[in-house]
Amino acid sequence: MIGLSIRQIGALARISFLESVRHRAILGLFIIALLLGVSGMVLSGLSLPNQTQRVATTYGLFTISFLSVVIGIIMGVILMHKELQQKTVYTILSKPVPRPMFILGKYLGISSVLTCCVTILALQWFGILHIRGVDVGNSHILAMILIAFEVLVVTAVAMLCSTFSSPILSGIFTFFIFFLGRLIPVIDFYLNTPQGPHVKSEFWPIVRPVLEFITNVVPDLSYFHVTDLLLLELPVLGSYVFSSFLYALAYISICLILSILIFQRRDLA
Amino acid sequence: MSTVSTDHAIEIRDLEKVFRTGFKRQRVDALRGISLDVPRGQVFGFLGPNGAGKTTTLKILNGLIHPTRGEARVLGHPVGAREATSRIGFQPEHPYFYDYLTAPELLRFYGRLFGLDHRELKRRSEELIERVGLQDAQNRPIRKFSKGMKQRLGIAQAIINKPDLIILDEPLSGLDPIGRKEIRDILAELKERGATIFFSSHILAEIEMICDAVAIIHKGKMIDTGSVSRLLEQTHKSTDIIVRPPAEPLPTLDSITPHEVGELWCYTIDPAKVNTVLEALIHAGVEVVSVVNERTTLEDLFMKEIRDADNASENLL
Repeated sequence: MIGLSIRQIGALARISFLESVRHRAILGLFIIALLLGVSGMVLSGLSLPNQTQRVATTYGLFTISFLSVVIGIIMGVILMHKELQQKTVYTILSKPVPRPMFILGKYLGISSVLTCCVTILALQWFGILHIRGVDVGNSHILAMILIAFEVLVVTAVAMLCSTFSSPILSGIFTFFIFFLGRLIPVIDFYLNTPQGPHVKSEFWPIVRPVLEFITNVVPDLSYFHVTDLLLLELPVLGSYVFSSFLYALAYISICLILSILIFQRRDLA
Repeated sequence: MSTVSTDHAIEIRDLEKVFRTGFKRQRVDALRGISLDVPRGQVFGFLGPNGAGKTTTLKILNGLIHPTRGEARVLGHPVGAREATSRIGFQPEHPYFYDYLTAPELLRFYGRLFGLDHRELKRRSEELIERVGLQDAQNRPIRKFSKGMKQRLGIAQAIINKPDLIILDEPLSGLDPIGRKEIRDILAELKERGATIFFSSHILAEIEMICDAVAIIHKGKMIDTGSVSRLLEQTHKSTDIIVRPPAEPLPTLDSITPHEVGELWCYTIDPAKVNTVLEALIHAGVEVVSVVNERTTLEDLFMKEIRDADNASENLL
């Protein structure tokens, strides 16, 4: 039984991988990401001589992270929606494929495409850094691994949204969560500064529980960003990456479990 | 229904399905307590006009939709159970596939979902491609397939696991007469192998040709079910006795007046009176050219059942 489930997840992941790499919108976005990566080379060349390496590092990290997340959101939302709208899901779920396996297979397929995507963009970035005279080391590789974790977390959120909502709403909702996730340190700052002027606002008693809810529910995506460490040439510790991995794994697991629970109850009418 | 039945491939009891649609969550009763037994080894047609609840029933049987009330079992197991789904083949209406794949790639994908090993996958997909006549198109992506080719591929994916029960939603729609004949032949072959085939269709003449039994559903309610021959026998039509007119005027028999049909004349009578009328005609010296039984077709029966059901519901109002 376990062997069959693994085979099924593998087959579904493979088909999702093939579907993603042949999807024109996704391919187009990936090409844009590659071109923006190249533009980092030009931009860093235009900056002040002592800022070249700084620009190449921050611009590269930003474009890879942002565009990979956008690709992840689009894939998470579109591919799931496509399965349901084009009804390909009927011929799969009428076979002995439990719905959880379908969700897991789909997610693994999308994740493998995103991992390839981040890897290619990372290799391009390493090349640009090398040309700009930056010593590419373990920290840069670990920074890219952290970005991959972030992309996988946001994609899991996109898949969760797409199990109960339309593609446009799912996309907007996921992007909103991504945006809030990036702002968690700022929100935390406001919540943990009781002496600040914001506390005196008449809206603070209403805003505070909302912000607390956001910090408890929305993933803190700042865990996956080590730009400051790279700029200061400080090492990114393996233990930090491992704890970020556990955080990402926990969040992804929760999203997938919720997706499965919703999808199990859903009528495929 | 707690025990595993061996006689019926499908058992449906008081099945109800309510959908909620739109912003106001309006109630739509797709199925209103239907019950049905489909014996094993039969080709069973599921008829009904658009919106009758056929596709909803088929989706419930495949575990794609959850019933609101009632119970359905396939091959003795609850719908959606692995023991059942591993022995079922399903082709949805207007089947969509991953259109960038080729037919052998797609069949191998579906085969993997059943856990078939590599060698078996290859053998089975080649065999099925040939069986449904897609060997000339096996290197072509599915997006370049015609509707008929997709229907045939749909049948192939539905039988990749050599199922005991095959559920097909409108398998004949969009096919030309040759395509329909090919599908009919495949279904006949599957029946010969002992499989039960349960399918919905609008093409009543084809259903009459290939089905052992049918069920008619209308507005979510079961109107009638039974073997095709029994259902058709229930509704007698008439018998036409064609005669060549003699010199003298034709007799009026049992208040039946003949009507002219070209150069001949025709008595349209109750089939039960054929012998009496024939004797009377021969006795009167009339030359009988032919006796034609006007048969009730499944289409006649279907239209009558639907009309009766509509009239009954109007009378209730």
